[in-house]
Amino acid sequence: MRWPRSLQAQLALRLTTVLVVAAAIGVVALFHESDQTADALRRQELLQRAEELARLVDRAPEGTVQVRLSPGLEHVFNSPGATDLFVVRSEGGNILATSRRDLAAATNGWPAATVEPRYTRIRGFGAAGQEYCALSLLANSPAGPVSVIVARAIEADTLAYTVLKDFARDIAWAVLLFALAILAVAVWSIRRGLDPLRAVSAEAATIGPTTTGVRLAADGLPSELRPVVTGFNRALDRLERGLTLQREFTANAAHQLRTPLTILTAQLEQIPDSPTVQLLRGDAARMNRLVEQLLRVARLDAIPPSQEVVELNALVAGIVRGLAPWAIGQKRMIGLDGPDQPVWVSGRADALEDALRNLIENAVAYSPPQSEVTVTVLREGAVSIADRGPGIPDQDRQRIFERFWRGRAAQGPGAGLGLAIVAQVAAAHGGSVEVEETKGGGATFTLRLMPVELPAAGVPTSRIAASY
Amino acid sequence: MRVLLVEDEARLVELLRSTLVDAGFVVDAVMTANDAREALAVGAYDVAILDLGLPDGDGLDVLALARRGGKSIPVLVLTARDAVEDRVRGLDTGADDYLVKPFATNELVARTKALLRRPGHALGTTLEAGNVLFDTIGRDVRIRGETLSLPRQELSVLEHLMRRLGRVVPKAVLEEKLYGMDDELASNAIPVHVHHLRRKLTESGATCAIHTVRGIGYLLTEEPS
Repeated sequence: MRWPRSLQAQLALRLTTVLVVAAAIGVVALFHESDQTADALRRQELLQRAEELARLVDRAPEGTVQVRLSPGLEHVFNSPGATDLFVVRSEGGNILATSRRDLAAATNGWPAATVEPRYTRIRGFGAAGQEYCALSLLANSPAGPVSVIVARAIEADTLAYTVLKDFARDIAWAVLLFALAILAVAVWSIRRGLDPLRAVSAEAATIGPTTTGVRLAADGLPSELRPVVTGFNRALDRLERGLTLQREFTANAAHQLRTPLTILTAQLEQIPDSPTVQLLRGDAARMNRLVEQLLRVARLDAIPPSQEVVELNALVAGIVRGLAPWAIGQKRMIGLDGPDQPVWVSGRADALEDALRNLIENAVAYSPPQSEVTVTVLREGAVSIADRGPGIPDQDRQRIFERFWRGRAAQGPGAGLGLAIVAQVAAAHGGSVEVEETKGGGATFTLRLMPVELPAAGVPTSRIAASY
Repeated sequence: MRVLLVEDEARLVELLRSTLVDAGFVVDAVMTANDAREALAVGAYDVAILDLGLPDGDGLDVLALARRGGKSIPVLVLTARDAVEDRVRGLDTGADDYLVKPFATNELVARTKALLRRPGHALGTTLEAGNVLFDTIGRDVRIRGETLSLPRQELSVLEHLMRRLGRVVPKAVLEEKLYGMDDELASNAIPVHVHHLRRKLTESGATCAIHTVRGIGYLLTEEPS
């Protein structure tokens, strides 16, 4: 049997086991004790009987020795179904009187009786299997010393056994009731004791990446549980500190890296054109992009997306508006298609923006001049970006989403991070990103997200539209 | 045209200063939040370029103080932070535009000029794009010194594209500007106006071009002649 994991079940099981074992030991001990008592009583009675019998032995005037039973003893020994038996022998071993011949026969070989009473258990005569308790005693009688053996069927004590059995049964009931009462109390105490834990669990469930300030209340908790809660709270403190450090690091790194890059870029712009300067400008642009993407990765790693609700039409329109001047500067066109009604998805606007910017920037970079990059918001909560570039070979369609995979990035301006960011954002949003061929040539990337119904009141919605 | 440049990185200040001077601006540069506060309180600048990460404070606090003090000077924020929240916070505080580092210096000049082209600001009366000059008071357009006569609707479209030179103007914004001008605004009114405008600009040898961003709006850029 598997040991139950629930504290309640464990306690109940153990208490019940202890109770049952204790009751069993009690009953056995009681039986044993009562057996002993009955035995002692029986011996005393048998001894009295034997002495009484001895007193009734006398010598008749003609010289024969006889036993004259009193009416009381007559009833005890000779009534039908009597359970008491006796044999009286002379000192020489001759039977003077007996209530049953087979007892006399069975005791024939016994050693001579002594003045000290001797107790034995005998069987093998009378009813089959019947056990008798027997006593032999050498006693003085009016006719001189005689040997008396008295025996009693052990079952004759049924009264005592009946009483005991009844008692055991009553005890069993009491034990059962006791067990139930203890179980009830145990279950109740545990439930009451653990109630605050349930409240704490509910509190803990509200802790997320955006609510790292929440701490569990230890008030009202049983003292045994307090260390768990304080330990948990300390762990939260450390985690929050770590998260804060990480965020600060990202922000600081952004500032520290970007300012020198800005200076480098600006300085290169002011140097008169030459083939070398053009190469250096390209390098600076590439470094800018790499830093940008590394920071996006760091941000994504540090802060998992929270469950806000984002309207895709507005988000994508904002991104396309922001990128259009650059794309047009690159002699590429860009177009947006989308449904008339809003498309709500669950996610985080800045992460989704990172992903979509990456996809659109890639599409523009790989498109031939004068062609259009078509961005389409799909009603089912997805965005597809179609270009007219060289497309992605079948065998690369999985690997392009790996970090620093240098397939098409090796020839292009990328650092090999962009699509990994997209894949990471998609995964963190419970969505996916896939690539297929554009009809007529080129690559179409589709970012699929989790659509939600119209946002309920109180759900934070993104203000992305305000930033453009 | 006086620009207040608030930036703590000395080399960047020198580069931006020379770029802005080349573009015809007079530049005053300060390097701390404190100096920026004083300069904004005293000086009559046409535009301010404000870096957010200053050694003695946050540029946003400087901006908030100036706005509370009733200063309506257009402010272009430079930031190394590009998370959406930071941008939204900047615009909420009263920034007119923002530029994320690293940026191209010509982009900085273009954005600064765009701020000044807004109605009520220094360049708001005469707009310039390539060789096209738009007098917003006299409502006339000159290309290479010759007047280009345009219907009211096309003038309005051109004006708004020129005010937002280099940036996408949503179709909905242009429709809003035309509302009440046309008796009935047909769904293809804007594309038709843009089509005519584009043809007339090309015929007049204008060194600027209107690009369509399908599904969003239009973008005016200066083109090399």
